This record gives sequence, C-alpha cells and structure tokens, in this order.
Amino acid sequence: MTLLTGNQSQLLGYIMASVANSNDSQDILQKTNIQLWRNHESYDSSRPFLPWALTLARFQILSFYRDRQRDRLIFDADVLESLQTVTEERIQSVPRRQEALRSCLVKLKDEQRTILSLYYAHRKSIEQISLSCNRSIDGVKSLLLRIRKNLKECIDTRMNTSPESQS
Amino acid sequence: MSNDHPEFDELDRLLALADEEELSVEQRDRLNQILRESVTAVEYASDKLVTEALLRNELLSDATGDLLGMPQSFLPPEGAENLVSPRFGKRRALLAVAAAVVFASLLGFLLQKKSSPVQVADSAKPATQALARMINQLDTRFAPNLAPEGDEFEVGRYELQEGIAELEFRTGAKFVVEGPADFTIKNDMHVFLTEGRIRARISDRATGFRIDAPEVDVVDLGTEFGIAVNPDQKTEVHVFSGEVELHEEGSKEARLVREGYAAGWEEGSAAVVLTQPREEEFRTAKDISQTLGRQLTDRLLADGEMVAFYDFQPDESSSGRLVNRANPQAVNGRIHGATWVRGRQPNSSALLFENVGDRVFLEIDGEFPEFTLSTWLKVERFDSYITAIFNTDNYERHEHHWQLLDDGAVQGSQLGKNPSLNSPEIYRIKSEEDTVPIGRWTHLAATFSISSGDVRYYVDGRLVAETVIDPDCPVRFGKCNIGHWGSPAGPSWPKQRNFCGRIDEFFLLRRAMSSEEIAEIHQLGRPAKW
Repeated sequence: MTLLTGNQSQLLGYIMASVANSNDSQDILQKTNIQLWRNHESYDSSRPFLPWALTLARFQILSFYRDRQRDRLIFDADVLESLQTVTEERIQSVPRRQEALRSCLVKLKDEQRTILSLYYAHRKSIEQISLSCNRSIDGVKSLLLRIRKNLKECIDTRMNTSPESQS
Repeated sequence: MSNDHPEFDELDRLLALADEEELSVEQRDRLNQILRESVTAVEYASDKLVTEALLRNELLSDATGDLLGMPQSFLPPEGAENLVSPRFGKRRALLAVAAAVVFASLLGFLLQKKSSPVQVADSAKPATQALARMINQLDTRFAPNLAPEGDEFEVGRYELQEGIAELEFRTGAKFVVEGPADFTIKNDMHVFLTEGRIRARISDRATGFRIDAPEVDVVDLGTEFGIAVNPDQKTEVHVFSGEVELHEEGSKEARLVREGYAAGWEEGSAAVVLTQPREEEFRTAKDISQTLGRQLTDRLLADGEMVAFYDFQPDESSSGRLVNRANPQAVNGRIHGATWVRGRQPNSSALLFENVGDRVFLEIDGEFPEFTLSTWLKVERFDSYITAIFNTDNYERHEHHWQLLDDGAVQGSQLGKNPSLNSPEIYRIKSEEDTVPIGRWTHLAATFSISSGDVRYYVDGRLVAETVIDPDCPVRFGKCNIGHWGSPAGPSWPKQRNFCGRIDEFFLLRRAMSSEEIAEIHQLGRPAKW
C-alpha cells in the first residue's frame, strides 16, 4: 500500500527536517493538510503545487515554533532557516529517495524488517523488542544500528547511481 | 556507524536523541553548533531527517496491513506491555497515518477536479422554487397566520400589517406591496387584492399577469402599474408604462388603459377615468432599498471599529476632499481628477474614474491584524491587465493590494518577509469563477484576520477566494489610493492600473466581518432596478 503519494512525502520530509521529531511532524502535516483542504478553492492550478503547499507548511511550522517553549524546540532560528533552505533545495529528489527506500526495505531479511517495524511503527521499546525477539538489549541496539546503516548505504548508493543523480 | 562520514557520528546520535525527545540542554546546543559549522552538516541532517520521516511512514503503512499477519514469535509476550515505554502509543501514530491518507486522497481528488470547482457559498435560490419570494423588505409585519414561510409565498391569503415588501414570482412578475394590505395568491400569474396598494412590474415573459380587485380585474400586457384598493373599497389603477386590460364586473368588454392614464371606481358606479397616474402614491423597490441602505450606513457609521467610511457624497466646503463620515477629523481622502456623477441610488452620488491618474489618495497609519474592506463600484471598462481597487503605494513588506484583472477576477495579495523559493509574497490569490461584470453596480469586500488565520475576498456577498495568511504579518496601509497604484517598485510590473468606472462607497473597518455580515451589506446596499 502506498501511503504517501508524491507531495505528501515531500511535505512530511520538509516538516521533519524543520522539527526533528516524528510525532510533531505528523501533527504539523495534518494541520497543513487541513489548510490545503480548506484553501483548495483558491489554489491557482496554473502555478506549481509544491511551493504553495510548502508555504502553508511553513506557517504551521512557524505556529509550532511560536507555541512551544524554547527549551522544547530543537533548532535555533538561524539553524532552522538553513535547514529549511537546504531541504527545499533538495525537495525534488524526495520521491526518488522514497523509491530508493522502498527498494532497500524489500531487500531486508524478515527479522530485520520486523525489528525496524516494532521499533518505529509499533513504538516498542528496546526492552520490549529484546523480550519478543529473544535477544539481549545490547544485541537489539546494535542490530538496529546496523540495519539503519545498511539502509542508509543502500539508499545513498541508489540515489547516487540513478540517472538524474544530482543533489 | 557510518563509514562515509565519521565526523557526523555525533550528529547522528544527537538527531536520534532529538526524535526521542531526550536531548539535554547541552546536547541541544551542541547539535545547533554542529549545524552552524558547515553546510555539509546541514545537508547531512536534512537528508537524514527526511529519510527518517519516509522510513517511519513506510513501516507504518506496512504496520496497518501487517498487524494481524505478523509471525507469532515476533509479537511481544503477554506482560511486556507493562514495561515503561518512552515512546508514544502506536494508536496515535496509526491515527495520524489514517488522517494523512484521507487528506492526501481528498486533496488529490480535489486538485484533479480543479476544472469544475465546488461552489463554496450558497446560491440564493432554493432547490424547490416557491411561487413567489420576498426579495426585499422594510420593517414588515405580517399577521400571524397570514405570513409567508420565511421569505417564500405559496397559494393562499396573506396580510401585511405594516411595512413594504418586494415579491418576485417565479414567472418573473414583481410587485411591491405596502401595508396595511390583504392579498391572496391564486397562482404564479394571478393575485387578488382585497385591500392595500401594490405596484407591479411585469416582465415580458409574465405578460398576462392578473391582479383582481373587488370591482375590476386587471390583466397586464407588459407594463408597470399600480393598483390600490382603499378601505372604503374604492379601487384605482394607475398605468406607469405599457398598458393593461381592465375587466369590470358586470361588463363583457375589456377596457384598455395605456400609460399615462389612471382609472378609478367607486362601489357600484361606473369607472371614473383620471388623467394623471400618481406615481408618488405607489412605493417602488427603490424606496425599499434606499431606506435599507440608509439604515445600514447609519449602523456602520456607529461601529466603533470604523476607520474610514466614504459615502461619496460631495463635501459642501471643499470639492477636492472625500470626507470620512466616520470621523471627519481623520483619514479624509484627496480627490485627484475623478469627477462627481450619479451613484447607485437615486439622489446619491459617485465618483467617476476615467483618466490615468484619477484617484483618491488616503493615508492610514498603524498596523492591522484584522480588517474589512468594502466597496460598491461599477466597472466601465478594463484598460489594463491589472486594475487597482485599493492599493498601498509601493509593494513592500506588510502591504496589501486589492485589484481586478482584465477578465473581471478579483486579485488580492500581500507582500511578506524573506523571499522564498518562488515568490516574495505571503499570498496572491484570485477568484476563479466569480468575476466582476462590466456596467453593473457590484459589491466587493475583503476580510483579513490573523487570529482566525485567513483572508477572504467576496463579490456581491459571495466568497470567491480565500487563503491562509502568515500569523506574523499584520497589514500596514500607509499611503494608499482608491482606483490607482502609486509609486510602483518593480520595473517589469504593469504600472498603469487606473480604475475605469464609478465608485460610490468605500469603507475600512478595524475587524474582520463574518461572511454573514458581508452578505447582509450586499443585500441591504443593493440598488433596486425599479
């Protein structure tokens, strides 16, 4: 099942790069989608969709930053600005990154994929996973790290060797 | 961890902690410091965070399908749930996923359907057409059981105790009835007037519309006439334009009465023909709309948030000044070039903007986190691609432009802060379907509210464009012009934006009106046609 279609993956990626927290990102994406929905009447379809959608996402991110206590925010304003600039520059390559990710996930062994899923999707703690998979806690930690590293290398390779390879 | 960029191991660790919400203050500062040090670090962090977001969603999408199919050995044993987990419950994550799916598919659907957009505002016409509808009224009071349902009239008897009502039949006939009046609707082409006065205006397609009175039936032949049945049963018919056919009780022949003539009957006697119809005795739709308009203006002027209200009536003392009726001490307009002409109501004025440079100059101080703009205008022609209704001079941060395009679309825009990828504007939107026609008095409005987060543009009381605004950027007007754009900044932008037509009302209110309020302003301020 394809969960995120093109623009949604780009919006989510942009938001995550701005707030560095996946729960907050999901919240902000939802609010952005609500605004996109509410404002679809005024969307001028002769103009590209993504810049408009990013504008709405930026407002939600701005609201998020204004509402939060400073000590609960990850990035300082200047760092946020450079992260957003860089992410926006790379936004067109996000769908390709998603494809690469999918191909790389398919290559994982069942157990590897399950551990990833338990940790990221089911939100199980390291302790819970170590119990269910009958591994030590350190074993689970290092396994997770290794899986993530392999995934990253796989994705980077695909991104760099694909025809429109430019960042 | 990563062999390619060992220098980013620390960055990896810190980002992981950030996602777990377990960063200490020192670690947070360290993370920011690393990201300040090099663009490569920022690029690395960006890629990593984006990948993280994509990964979670891929796994979540698996999870929603996989929960039942997961091999038993990998499911946590009973009791494992009691372990404290620093992470949020999965239900919340899955809920967010479901919502994202709904919105994503809805959005996709909507954006594909852009060619036939859904109307946001309701059309005024009901789905089932009533026989007749009350389209305007002034202080009406109907007898309790002899009143319309809402504003809809069907077959039956009605008693208007006081006030004036304008009815429009689905056949196209219109009339204005003045209370006290007692009338019965027989069908959409036939009314019986027991007592009271009616002024009828019958369009061509309703020729044959009939109003019966105790002594006489009047059949309309495409015309405007008044019929009065006085308390002592004296009936009169005054023909203002066209002609009518009179069928008197007890007489086989019909009598034709043409415009410029009136006829009267006393009970039991023959008709007495009067020479002059007396128009002043019969209320018109304009009478209603003029009074409603005046009442509305009084209400608006009394609103404490009214910054400037221009009724476009010439100032006795100085012809170059457009007086702010809400506060003559402040924000008066300076007229350049535009000339005084007739306005949208009888006995009212407007300014005619014709030549390049015709404008009204204003200066408005202060910041506006909320406002409403409203105007009545009649476009004569579109001389350029963009026509200014009300523009701030220049186009700098915090400034707002309210314009028309040459196809009649309304365009609103606000300039903001950091130029982003594609546009230095906070927003620039235009109406898609509803456009402003040429040659007709039209009401335009715009509302802006930072607290509610949106800006809306209206034509004739209908919402035509809407978008989200920057929570941080209230509007500042400063020097502005009605009907013109002063001191344009960019060399390539269309410079001449002079409005060609008439304007007879304009106001700026320091709060955002609701769509109901805007609809009411249009309804009450509409000029009647007759």
